[in-house]
Amino acid sequence: MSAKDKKIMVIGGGIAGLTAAWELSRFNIDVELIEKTPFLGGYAIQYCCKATDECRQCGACTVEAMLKNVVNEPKIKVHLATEVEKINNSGRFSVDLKKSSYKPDFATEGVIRGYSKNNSPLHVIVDKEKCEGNPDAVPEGAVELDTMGFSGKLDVDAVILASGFQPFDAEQKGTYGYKKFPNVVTGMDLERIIRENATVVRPSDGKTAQKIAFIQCVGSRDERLGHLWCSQVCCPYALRMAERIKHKNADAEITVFYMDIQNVGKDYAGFYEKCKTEFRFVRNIPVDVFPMENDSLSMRYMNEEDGLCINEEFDLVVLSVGIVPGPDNSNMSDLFDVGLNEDGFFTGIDKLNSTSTLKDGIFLAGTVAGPKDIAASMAHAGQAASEVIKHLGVS
Amino acid sequence: MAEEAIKLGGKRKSVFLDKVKELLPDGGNLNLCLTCGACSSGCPATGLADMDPRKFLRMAALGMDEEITSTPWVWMCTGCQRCIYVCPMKIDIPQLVYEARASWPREERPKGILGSCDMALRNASGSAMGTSEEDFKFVVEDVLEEYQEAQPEFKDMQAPIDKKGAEFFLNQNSREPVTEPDEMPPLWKILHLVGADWTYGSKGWGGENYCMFLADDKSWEHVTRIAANQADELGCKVFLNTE
Amino acid sequence: MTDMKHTDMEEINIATDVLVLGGGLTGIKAASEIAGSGYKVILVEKDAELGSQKRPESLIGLEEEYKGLQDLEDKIKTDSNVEILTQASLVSAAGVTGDFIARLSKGEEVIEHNVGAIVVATAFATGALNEKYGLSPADNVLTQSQMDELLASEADKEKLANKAVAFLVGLGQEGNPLVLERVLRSVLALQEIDGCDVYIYAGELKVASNGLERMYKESREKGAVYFKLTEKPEIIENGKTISFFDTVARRDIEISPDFIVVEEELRADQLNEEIAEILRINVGPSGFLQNDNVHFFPVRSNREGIFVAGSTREISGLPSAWTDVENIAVEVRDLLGDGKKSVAKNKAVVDETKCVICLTCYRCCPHGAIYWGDKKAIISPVACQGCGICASECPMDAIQIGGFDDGAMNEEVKNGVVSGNGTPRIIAFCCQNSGFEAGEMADVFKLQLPDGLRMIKVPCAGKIDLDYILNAFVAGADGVMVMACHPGNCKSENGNTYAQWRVNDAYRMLEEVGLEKDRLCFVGTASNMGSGFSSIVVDMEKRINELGLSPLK
Repeated sequence: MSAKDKKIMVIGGGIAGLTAAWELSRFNIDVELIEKTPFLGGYAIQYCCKATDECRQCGACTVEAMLKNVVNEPKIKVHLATEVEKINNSGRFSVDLKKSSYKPDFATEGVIRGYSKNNSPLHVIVDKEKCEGNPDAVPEGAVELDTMGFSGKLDVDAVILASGFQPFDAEQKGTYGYKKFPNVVTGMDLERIIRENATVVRPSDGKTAQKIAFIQCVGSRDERLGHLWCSQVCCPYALRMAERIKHKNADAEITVFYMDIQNVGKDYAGFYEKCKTEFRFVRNIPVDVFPMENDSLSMRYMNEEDGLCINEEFDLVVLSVGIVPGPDNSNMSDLFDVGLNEDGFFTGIDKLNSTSTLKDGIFLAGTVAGPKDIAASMAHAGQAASEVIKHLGVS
Repeated sequence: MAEEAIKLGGKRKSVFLDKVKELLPDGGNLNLCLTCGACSSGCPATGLADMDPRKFLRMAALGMDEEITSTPWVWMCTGCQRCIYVCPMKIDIPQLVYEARASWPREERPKGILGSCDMALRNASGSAMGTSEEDFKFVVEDVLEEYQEAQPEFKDMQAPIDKKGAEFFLNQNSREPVTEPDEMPPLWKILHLVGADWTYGSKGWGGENYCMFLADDKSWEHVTRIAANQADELGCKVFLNTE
Repeated sequence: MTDMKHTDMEEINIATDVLVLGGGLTGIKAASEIAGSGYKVILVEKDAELGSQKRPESLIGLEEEYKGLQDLEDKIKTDSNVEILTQASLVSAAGVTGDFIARLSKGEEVIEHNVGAIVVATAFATGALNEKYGLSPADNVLTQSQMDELLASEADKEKLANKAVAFLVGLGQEGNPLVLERVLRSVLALQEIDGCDVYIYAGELKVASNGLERMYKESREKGAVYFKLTEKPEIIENGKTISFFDTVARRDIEISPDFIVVEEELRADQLNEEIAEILRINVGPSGFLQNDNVHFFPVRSNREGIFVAGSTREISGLPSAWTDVENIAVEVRDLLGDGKKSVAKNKAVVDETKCVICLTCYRCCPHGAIYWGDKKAIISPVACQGCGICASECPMDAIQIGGFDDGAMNEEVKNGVVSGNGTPRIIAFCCQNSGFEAGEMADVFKLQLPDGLRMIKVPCAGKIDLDYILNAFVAGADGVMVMACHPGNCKSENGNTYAQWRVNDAYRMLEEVGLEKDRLCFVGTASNMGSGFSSIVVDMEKRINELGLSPLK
């Protein structure tokens, strides 16, 4: 069977979806890539480079490269601001698509910008009224969100679900004061701050943060939330960002509050040893954050040595939020008739093949099937592509 | 630390913990501690008597029953429930503390709490100050009259006692009618302004329940039942517990 | 890999057989997948039997899947596309991808195979860590493997009834999820035995793997007590008693378990180094066959056509080994296709009249893409990644890279210095994978950039000749920047290191001619560092302004 007649739909334009689409396109297979937001790249494209004087293997740069591959690949047709409405399975899959209901949650301006130069369009007008009377607010090539999105039917031979995860909503942990106190940020926010500013500044006043606390396991390893899993990415991103901060600012004082530090990279033992010489590790999870007059934050935690509580002041508190199933998982589970596991992630046919599903022709890639870092998401997407190729009988 | 090492031998016996687990749904998750320390970071009693909620739970888990049933720390706990609220595993430490209190001989429990519970048992008012039904009635009427006169906009305000068929049954901190009567009218005013149909009970108006803090189940039930029965008898639909 | 323009293409034939080294489960799966794609596979195993019976530790938690694995082994044994060589090993592997000549020894016999790709699928080894805890083998001291064996036998299990068992994990090594999973499996099995109490002494609990947090919870629910320590406990009388300070109870605790179980390390196969030497691939951290370089993940080695799977490249359980194998299946298909490959004629061209076969290029090529013939070095167009390190290292300047030949590059340098506006004039040699992308990002996002900045794209920082740098100064550049990937992030492993060396050489030369050192800089960059790029070049402009314009103008 020739690949020429074959068409695959990939749902989700984050790193898993991009990788799956690109891997398939290498075999001359047509790919319809569906992305709910107006930008490709998902969360991973928002991450910063965490290199110190050497690469820290966070993989953020590989997302940039993969996005470039995809936008330059004619076999991949991208549908932004689009979502699945209905799917009909009669041998092939007939998928009804519609303009997505996406609304930006971070826009204070009328125009939002993609995180990569390879995003096209780069600028999207989300609120026309805010732009009126201010021509400078609308960069050249900006596209109105209202005009984006694809409605119609596409027939495909297989579908890869790669709709990703969502970062834990830190507001659910009310005692940390996220969104109440400007200098309490999530790991996700810090990624964006570093990516945009190349330095770590306090949101409240733009000053360099000198004393920084990271709190691990926010939203992970938490039965109360129904999140009985380790998100696997938070220790790596927190320690890598902390290393980066320390590298740029040797005077920065960094404290990591944790339960169990998970391994980072291939040379994790060496990396952790280095971290221990540069940061203070406190095996205790604080729960209370109080605002101070200078926008600093006071945190109360128990000192394990003497069992007494300490109140300590920090310039910036970083909540290392974890990976939570995507908001559309249950809806997509219904649409595609593919089951979710007890945690709310999609489930593969067995432990060894976590990309094929019980539904013939539907495959999984990336964090839609459970927590993964960038490298693992890409590998999982490659595995999905391989299973799809076998499914199609392409030779 | 001068204390002697805890010698566990091989097998451990946690009679106390096992007993509490049997009392609770899902065993109160008492086995599930991740030792993350969130409970102790959030607990107002952490560090008192060289104890904190996590340590308390760990000692119970290790079968150090004698120590946890004798530490005065259980009486320093305010019962605020913060430890379970912030615990990622929903471990019912407050209940463990409660049972540790209950294990104390009644007469050895803290005098203040014990005295207040005994006061509440003296008459049907449930007041921890031992205030009688008549005295309460007198104070309420007196204060109400004063406010009706002094503040014309509240001249129609009521503070009924034993009003049959009222929607809400309201109780009251025991100390206020005795020592700070002016603390009562603010709530009356709110209820008046929203047009709530409410009443105190001559029986069971005492709101706080020191017998509960005393971990005296029988007396706790006794005091609670008087109030509940009174609300039922008056035909009230909602019990407004102000404590 | 590069986006240079190749108009002059030619079609070549390549070998499509694939050599799989290692007949364990991963190797079997790889053979099955690759044969399933229509390629002939030679599966080489050093032992007498293939491996579905071996390495039970990689099967942790996969009891249900186990039967399928035996079927897989049976399947490849009857697959005419799979040739199985047991008690065999790789002796040498000459050539490059598409045309490897693998020599295999089996007993006295040496077998030669022409293969297009090679997959390495070695297992990991386990090692006792008793010594790290000061424990000697004894009736009460078990390794994790011994405990696994005990639990596998119904009769032996009896011995554990009404006993207290203590595990030591994550204190003799940093640990990882696979080691923890072994412990958790044992703990859960022990909890099925009457009256068996379990204590776990742990460093960090490495739960970062799917399903581990649930197992960890289940074990606690059933009564296991975990002590998280920051240092090893004191072992008294060879494990009869364990004494430690519990930071939770803030007290010294002594426990006298009936059995003490010591964690094991999972380490790279000893064969790895030997294989790496034969295949000329790099050995990464702890003896695994892949450097910690994101561009190689998941399955690539530094040489095209040589792939690494599962525990060859990291400590991994079978699920991730399966992921690796599927990725390799895709890579192999893409690489070998139908045996005909269209390649650019000018990817890297060796000038026969200049080449003296000094083999500098052979030695410096990070991709092992170069070999030699009678008259000159030969660069395989399939294996070559176009980085240009060889071209810059060649003492005879005999190698030219398509799209980046020296003539064109020097022209671009000159034009960069003399044409257009803006001072000071800064020439930034930018690796196309990092610095150049970051610069474009800064430009697209309208971040601050010096007017006099000229970016010159190179395929890899390793292609930046010392001549380019010096020529830029000669042409009158006020400053020169070399913007390479961060160490450890170079797609060609060490192109950035070569660039750094050349910059260091250039520093010495600048000193000799009396030019300030600050006019030249070497920086690590990444493709997603738009704002970082901006601040780096703005800083450079500031430094140059302080020095004034180049005296060579």
